[in-house]
Amino acid sequence: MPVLLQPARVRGPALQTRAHTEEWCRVFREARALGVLQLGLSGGEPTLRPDLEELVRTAHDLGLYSSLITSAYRLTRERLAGLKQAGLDHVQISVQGADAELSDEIAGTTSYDDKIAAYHYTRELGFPLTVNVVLHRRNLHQVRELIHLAESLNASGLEQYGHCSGHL
Amino acid sequence: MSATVPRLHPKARLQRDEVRQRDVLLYPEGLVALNATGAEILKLCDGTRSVADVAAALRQRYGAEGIEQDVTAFLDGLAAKGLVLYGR
Repeated sequence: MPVLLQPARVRGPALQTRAHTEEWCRVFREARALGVLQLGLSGGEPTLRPDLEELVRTAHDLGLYSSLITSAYRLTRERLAGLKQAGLDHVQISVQGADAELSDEIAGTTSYDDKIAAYHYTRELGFPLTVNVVLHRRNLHQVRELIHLAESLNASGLEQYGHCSGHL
Repeated sequence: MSATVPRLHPKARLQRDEVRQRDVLLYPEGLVALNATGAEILKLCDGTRSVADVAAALRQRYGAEGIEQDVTAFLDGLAAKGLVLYGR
């Protein structure tokens, strides 16, 4: 079940965000009752939601296997650790190129270093990791380096985590 | 092979699905629906029992004879999917 989480309207009254959270939790309960077992938390950018931990905790308590699909822009180790504690099962982080120059240029943000740091935090915290790459003519020449990047992230520990998924 | 110790990959989670009334093995963006025998085998894979120990435990509980080959085939299938690891 892919869930597209739009950032909560944090400027509005707290009650509005609260209702939004409870509505999602109700949707999760109903989906589980229908037999749904997988939850993909995507966006937009799901980490912009301050209630992400609560949504993850609810999903975990229901027995949903949850995946966070994120750009990892400004994603800290503390946030990831909190999500782990809340019961998040799996992390997918996108990267736009195999080096900072190209990745940041395509992303339109200075985010490559955040992504690389988050890859390592993810593995340190024991999450299975998926590296997401959208391949297109601007980064296709780096496909070898992108595969190498994903491999190098997996090979540094005792456990083999993650895979590289490309969408053309 | 029977001396090797199987365990679930940390990315995989074995749980009961009350909706389907069966046990399932969940992993990133997928699941394996298990029959009662498969679930029983995985519950015995605690990281200390070897494949031979798992087969012996099943023999003791259910009187099932000559099943080591079936247990091995089942676990090898999950290992090929990256859901079971061998070795301590």
